[in-house]
Amino acid sequence: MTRLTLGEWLARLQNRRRFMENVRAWVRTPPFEGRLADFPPGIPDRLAALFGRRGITRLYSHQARAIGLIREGKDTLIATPTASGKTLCYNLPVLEAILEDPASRALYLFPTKALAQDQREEFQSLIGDLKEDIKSHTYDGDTPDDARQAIRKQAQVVITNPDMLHTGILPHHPKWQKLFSNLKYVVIDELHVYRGVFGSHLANVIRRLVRICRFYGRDPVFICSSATIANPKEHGERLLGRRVELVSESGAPAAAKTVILINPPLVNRELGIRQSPLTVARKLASELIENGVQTIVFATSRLNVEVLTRYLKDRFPGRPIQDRFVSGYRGGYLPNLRREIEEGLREGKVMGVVSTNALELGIDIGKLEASILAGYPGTIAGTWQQAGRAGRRSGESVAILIAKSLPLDQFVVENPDYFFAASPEHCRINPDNLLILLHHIKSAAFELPFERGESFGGENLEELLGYLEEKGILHRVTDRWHWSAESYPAGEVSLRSVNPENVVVIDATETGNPKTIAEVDWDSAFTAVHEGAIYLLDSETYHVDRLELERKKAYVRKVAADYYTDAMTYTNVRVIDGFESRTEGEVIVEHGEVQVVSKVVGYKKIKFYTSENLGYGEVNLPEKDLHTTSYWFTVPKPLLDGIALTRAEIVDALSGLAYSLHHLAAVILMADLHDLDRAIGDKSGRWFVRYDQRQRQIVTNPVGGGPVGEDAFDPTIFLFDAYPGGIGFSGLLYLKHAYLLASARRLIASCPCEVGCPACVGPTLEVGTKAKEGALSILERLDR
Amino acid sequence: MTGGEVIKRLGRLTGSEKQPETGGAPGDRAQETSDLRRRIEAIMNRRPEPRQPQAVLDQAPGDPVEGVEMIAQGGAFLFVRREFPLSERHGGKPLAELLGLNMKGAALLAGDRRLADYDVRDALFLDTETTGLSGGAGTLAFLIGLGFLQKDTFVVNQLFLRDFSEEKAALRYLADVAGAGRFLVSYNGKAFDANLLAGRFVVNRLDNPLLSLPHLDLLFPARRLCGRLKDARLATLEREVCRFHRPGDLPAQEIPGRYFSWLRRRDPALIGDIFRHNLLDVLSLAALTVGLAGLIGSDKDRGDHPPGDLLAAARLLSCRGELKAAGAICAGLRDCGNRAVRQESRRLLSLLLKRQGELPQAVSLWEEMIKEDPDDRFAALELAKWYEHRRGDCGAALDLVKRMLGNCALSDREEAPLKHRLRRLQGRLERKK
Repeated sequence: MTRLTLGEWLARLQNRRRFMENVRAWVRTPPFEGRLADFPPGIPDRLAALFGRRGITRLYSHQARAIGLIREGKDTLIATPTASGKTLCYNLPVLEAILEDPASRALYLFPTKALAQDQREEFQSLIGDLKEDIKSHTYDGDTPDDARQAIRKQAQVVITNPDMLHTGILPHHPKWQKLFSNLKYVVIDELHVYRGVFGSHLANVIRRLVRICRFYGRDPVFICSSATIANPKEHGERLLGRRVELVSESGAPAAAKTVILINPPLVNRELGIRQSPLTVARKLASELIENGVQTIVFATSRLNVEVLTRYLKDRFPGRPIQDRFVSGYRGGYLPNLRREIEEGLREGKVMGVVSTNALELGIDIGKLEASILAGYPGTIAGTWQQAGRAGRRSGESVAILIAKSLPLDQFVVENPDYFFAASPEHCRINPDNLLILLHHIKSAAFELPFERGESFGGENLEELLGYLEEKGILHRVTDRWHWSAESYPAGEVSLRSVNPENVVVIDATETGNPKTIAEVDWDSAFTAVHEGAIYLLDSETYHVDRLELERKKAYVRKVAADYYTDAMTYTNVRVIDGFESRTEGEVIVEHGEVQVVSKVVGYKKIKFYTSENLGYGEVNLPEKDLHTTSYWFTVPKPLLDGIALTRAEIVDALSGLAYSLHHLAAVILMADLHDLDRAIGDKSGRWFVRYDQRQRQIVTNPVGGGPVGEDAFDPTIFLFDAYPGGIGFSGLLYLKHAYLLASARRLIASCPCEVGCPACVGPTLEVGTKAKEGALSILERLDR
Repeated sequence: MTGGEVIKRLGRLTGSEKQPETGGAPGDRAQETSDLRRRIEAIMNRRPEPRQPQAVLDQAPGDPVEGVEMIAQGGAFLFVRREFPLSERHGGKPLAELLGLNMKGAALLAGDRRLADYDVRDALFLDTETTGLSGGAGTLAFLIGLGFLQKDTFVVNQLFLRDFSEEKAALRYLADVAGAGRFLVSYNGKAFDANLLAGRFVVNRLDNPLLSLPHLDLLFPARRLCGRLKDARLATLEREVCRFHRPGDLPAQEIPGRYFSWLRRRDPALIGDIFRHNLLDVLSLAALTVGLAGLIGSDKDRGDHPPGDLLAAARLLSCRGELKAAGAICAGLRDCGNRAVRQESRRLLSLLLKRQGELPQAVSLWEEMIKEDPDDRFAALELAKWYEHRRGDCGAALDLVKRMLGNCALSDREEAPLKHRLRRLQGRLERKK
């Protein structure tokens, strides 16, 4: 068979009528030549020569501008597309400073260890070329104990991650005296990753870092880089707590790229079910790989990564299962395996990789030609990041986005003009989230006593110090608050998730030879490795025999299952405090603080390929408790009286409405779908909705418990921040209530399905067949 | 944000605070309390009240133990001085033995030759009690015990922080007494006490004088010399080496908690035990130094040490390059009643002889060992090497190796190199033919 080039393949694709029927947009961006500028005056000749030897005789315009600002001592944020040479913007000034004064120090922060390792190699090769004795080292959990002391004293560039800065460096700052007393630059790469909880934590870690630097008499210059986001300057300034100069106009050349948006065909018009994006992705990826086009496929969940990897491996038989011609790649894989896959991609041994957004960040996997997004990644910024994996440097490339039957996906592919014109998302953080703030006040007090008059964060510091004093954690002597507890506060909370614990997955297939095969974070453990679940890893299926939460271990056994499992949860919300309230028509709209209790109650078995539902299982796991902020509105019972539906059907209608509101809220807020969650109940938490095989009903107790009485029925729809303490979305939704409802009405009314589908009110399997009709009736009455 | 509001929100988030039961926002309560306080103060102020006399120098009220308030530059702290006449004993060890501390032995223990030029009167025995055991910038030493010889007494000074604010003054005092000419003796002080104090000097913006002092940390030599003991805790060593028992001692993990309680309640009863614990640590440190230095440094006074310890001393000496001294100990043990010690000391001795080039003596020792135990693989192997490389007698070497391989009780790890040697020897013999 003759292989096609990517260009030829694209040309043929355009001639396939059936395929083109599903294409909603086919946009080819011409190459951009780029804008160059000279090295700023005063850059040492040997540095210019160093980059010259690497073919960089002139800079891109944004690099020249950023370097100019940095050398003036301005805190600078560079927000330009993937592969526009951001690394040079900080490496050059850092090298210049160290050459001028070898005592100078720089601290680099990367969100992952893998990125830190990558960057260190790059930096080392620069140093090697310079023939200078400059020491750069990574410092993270993998750093051997005996190397640590030397790194603390000698490394001029310390490359680490926020977690290590938080738990391993700041609390031991006296040992790092050399670093902090000479710190000239702090480099924070991939700033857009630090949003939500992680970003709110990092902002506080930066507050602590600045405080420690002040103690050692330093005020380092911050150099940050970010992918293209809507509010880089605002985000950078909020994260750093200081003014930053923004450099966002890229002068980097870009290769020609074809972007294709696909909406898979409807396979069931009645139910509004479209062909799975995995099916489309599998076909396209197979063709590309057959033609020798190295391809990355992004799937939206770990599960989908595994399912698709398995499909593709099946497609290329004759290769042993261990062969990595096609491979999965995601967070739970152990580091060795990940390194192996990355290397395989760079060397062209791995021709196809299926990944979660783990490969969205700047890990060096070399140049890929095609990027397929099986499902909208949830954000516009994420979409461009993933699409940018193809054709990073030059040549022809293609990015294909395949929509799922979800409101967000449908919205994006059906409105391509909006998609191509839209600004990417805002990054939002709330560094003054009380729990996060308090945690870092503790950590900061451990590092140095607080003095009266000091400030830290936006809340009343003295009151919080007083609170900690009352709790006996701090001890005040006149105007200073000292740490007075035995614990090590930085070790108590992880920056990345609420619970720092991971559950390890142990393969106990061979008796007497248990093997750790993966880790899942605490929250995912409840849905991914509950007893009876099928855990998928690199397209193998494992049955979870036992989950020991106390010991944080899940024991699994390799099985040849033809199905996978999907967990079912119930959620119950109780209002604790209303911040604001108003009435719109007969509806009470509010936002405030809530307590959310959720529990995994069971799971569905779903057959591979056909997605047939094979049955249910029960799960007995403890409840999880979340205090957060929420927006909600209550529908008074009389308003629902005229609707000719049963109680259960009304509950379905409300579920369907909540489903579309949740998705639309994510669009309106430009937030990730998972930053929000939804629930139906009443404000007091006296009843909630129970989901079982056939229908949804409102009950007083999740396990037993009968239906509640007629009079108790004033249903409330909650959309809440999916983080303890809240991240600040609910206030915005409260303001946008009317717009949100109007959008939901448009979305549901204009959906081509007959009785509801995943693109409007959710799958009929979950909300029944009356949800669409019911939701529209409710919306109509709310509008009166 | 009004006062009390933040805390109210926080209470809900942490789940530590239940919802207010009835009426009255928490703010009201705070208001009430402060009103109450104002009223009480107003009443009290009307009465002419004799002002409490300022704390006198010795034993201010509430001071945990008898001591004086030491005023150092810019602050004060509690200072307790204890003197022990050298006629007293610590467990089985007369304190007077300190005068005879073997400095050569101390230098060998520390692996630091500089120490040999110091005098025992330069020693500063250091032990601290801290607010935590895991380290980090938030942990400090609230009690610093310093022992040293002065004229005919052993003095233990204890520097106690009645509050965090007294740290700087205490560190300044420590810097003064730990000046040039001293050396430090500690137990695990390199990793812990001195390390932690180094951080405290940084945080208080003071120069760290300890950094430049020679430091004998007894933990490392104690581990090597007393490997027979179940652990290398100071309490175990003082019992086994100094025959000192301290019943009712405060467990180390309770100490930080006690100090935090003291900060809140100022109850001297909480803290007395800590002073005692620290004092005994310093005394044991001194006695242990004498014991261990004697074991390794002198030629006499070894009679009462168990043979196992002597053998360990020989090993340490051999590591430090003191081959003669190590050999002398081994020679004294070669006919020891304990079989394992006897065998081990002969092996060590033979290796020492080999390193010193005394091959004939080593050879006769190996032969003696084989004579006593024909299965002695160590001696047989050494002898085989000697036959092969020194004597050029591959036949004799081959016989020895064959005999060893004939012995079925060989592990794979032992067998592989022997087989390799066997093949090599056979090859060499082939070629000769």
